[in-house]
Amino acid sequence: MGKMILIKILRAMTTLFLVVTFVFFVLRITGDPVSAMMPDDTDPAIMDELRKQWGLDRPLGIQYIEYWRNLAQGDFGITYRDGRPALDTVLERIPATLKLSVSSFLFVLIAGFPLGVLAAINRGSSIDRLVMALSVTGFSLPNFFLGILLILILSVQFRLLPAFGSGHWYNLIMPVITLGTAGAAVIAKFVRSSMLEVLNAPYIRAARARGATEKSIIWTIALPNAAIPVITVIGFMVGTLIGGSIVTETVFAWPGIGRLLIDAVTSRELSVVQTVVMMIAASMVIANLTVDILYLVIDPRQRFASGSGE
Amino acid sequence: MSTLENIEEFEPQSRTGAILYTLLGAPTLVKIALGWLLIVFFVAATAQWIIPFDYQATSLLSRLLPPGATDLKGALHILGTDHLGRDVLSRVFVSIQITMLVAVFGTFFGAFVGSAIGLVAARFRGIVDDIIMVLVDFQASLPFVIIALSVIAVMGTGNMLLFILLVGLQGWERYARIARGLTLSAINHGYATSIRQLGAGTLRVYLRHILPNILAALIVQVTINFPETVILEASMSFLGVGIQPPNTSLGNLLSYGRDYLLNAWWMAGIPGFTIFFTTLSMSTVGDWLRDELDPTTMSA
Repeated sequence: MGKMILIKILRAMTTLFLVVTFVFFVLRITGDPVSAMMPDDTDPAIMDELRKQWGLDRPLGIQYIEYWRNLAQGDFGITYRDGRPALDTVLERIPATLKLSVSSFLFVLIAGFPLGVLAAINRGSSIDRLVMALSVTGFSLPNFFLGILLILILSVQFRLLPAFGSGHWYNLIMPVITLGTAGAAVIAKFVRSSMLEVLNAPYIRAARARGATEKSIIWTIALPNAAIPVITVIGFMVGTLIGGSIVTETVFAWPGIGRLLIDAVTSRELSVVQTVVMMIAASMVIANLTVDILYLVIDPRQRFASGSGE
Repeated sequence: MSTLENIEEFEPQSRTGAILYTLLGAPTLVKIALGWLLIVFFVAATAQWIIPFDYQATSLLSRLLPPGATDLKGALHILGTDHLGRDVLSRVFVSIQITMLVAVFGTFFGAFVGSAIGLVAARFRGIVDDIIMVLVDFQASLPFVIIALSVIAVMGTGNMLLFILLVGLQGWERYARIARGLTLSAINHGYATSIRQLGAGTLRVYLRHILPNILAALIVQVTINFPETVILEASMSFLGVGIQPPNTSLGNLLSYGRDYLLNAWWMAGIPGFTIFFTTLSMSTVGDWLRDELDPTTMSA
């Protein structure tokens, strides 16, 4: 198992290496980050000075090594607008994003699991059909539109919740539903099919034969087993949440890194863009790695299956 | 001889017949979804001829008219007007056209690139395959929108062709993975070996014989990928980094509408529901198509 974990860690590091390299080259697609960053009417002398200052007059290989050295020292460049370190600008936005995405993640689990179980134990009934219809709807509803619908209904029509703001806990309700619904829909669908499979397994019949109550079979025997394959989807979910938070934060004017990224893209604040991209990539790689390792630890079959397979 | 001719005549007829038969046997929900998609594609193809007003014509005297209202000249605005007095129906129709244009071209571009990469990996194996698979893993571990945003940040907004290609590339890694896996298993099948031994060149083996055999799985992937492309285009346009004015897409309309939620729900509501019904219909039809194409999921 140690070897497999090592392979996964190596793979995660490769991905991170590729992300940094990708960002480095994307910034140079146009040949010159200075002209991409500066207004078109900037004095050529100033542009040359900036190129020299940022080391852009040197060969690409040297620049690439220099780039790594700066990153290792936590130097992600400075913002064009106010000359602050890009890293600081990004770091101060992280708490808001964490608050939103962790709450949404909990919402995904709390809404997704019970609905999936409910559908599975009532297979074929109208409850099952309702849950599945909700799941398809939740998955097809683009989150930017869901957010707007929630504002229309809960803020404009019934005046229950404020449309914008981030100070109170109730400010979280609409963004969390917006960000979490698609994930909850996927989890519900997955839990349902996984539960259906498990409920037909011999050990469930054995438990039933031994006289275990239906309730304890479902919650203490079937669900833990059904949850194992769902863990892989949860890793994927982290990516969906991060991608979705960009839209959600914009809809609700939430002061997180998603909105910062959009602002940085439109104002071409490239040092901020690269910092956010690397942060997001790093957190996704770490999340996937954690899920992979968790999976190996929880499900002994995985260890043997992949050990002999690859 | 006459029997041969009969078979040749019968073959296409029976195929059309089979498709019609399957369509008629589809559940009502799938029929409704298909109907909606037909309308959307019809609007997309004919928008410039069927819109009742110029979609860019502003009129400050008829701003924010609700659906069904008539303006000062007595002209009826079925879906109302926006904050600049532009006809919402006309703008939605033109937006459907652009959204579909991006989605159709983008999806096929991505499917083509992804499948080609997968075929190349399977053909050359070795180091080429390794590099491609590392790239596939890399792509799969990052949300595509992040990559799209970094490219837009550097290249700037407003380049429509770049935007279509970029949006289309979403999901390329899944096509690559599917094409590679299926090709690897197909290449050792009897038919591929026989054709190679008959002396067919590499291109002929891969494009004329293996590709048609793995096409069904790639088409299924297209039905999953297409609504995703629609949503990615709409979200990026909504965020202001996609389609730029004077062009317009459903995402743009939604983003203007967001500022007028308090007094003009139709500005955001109508384009929003259009996107929603379209992606929902595509998923419904796609699900049904998958079950029809794949005999192994019939029992599920």
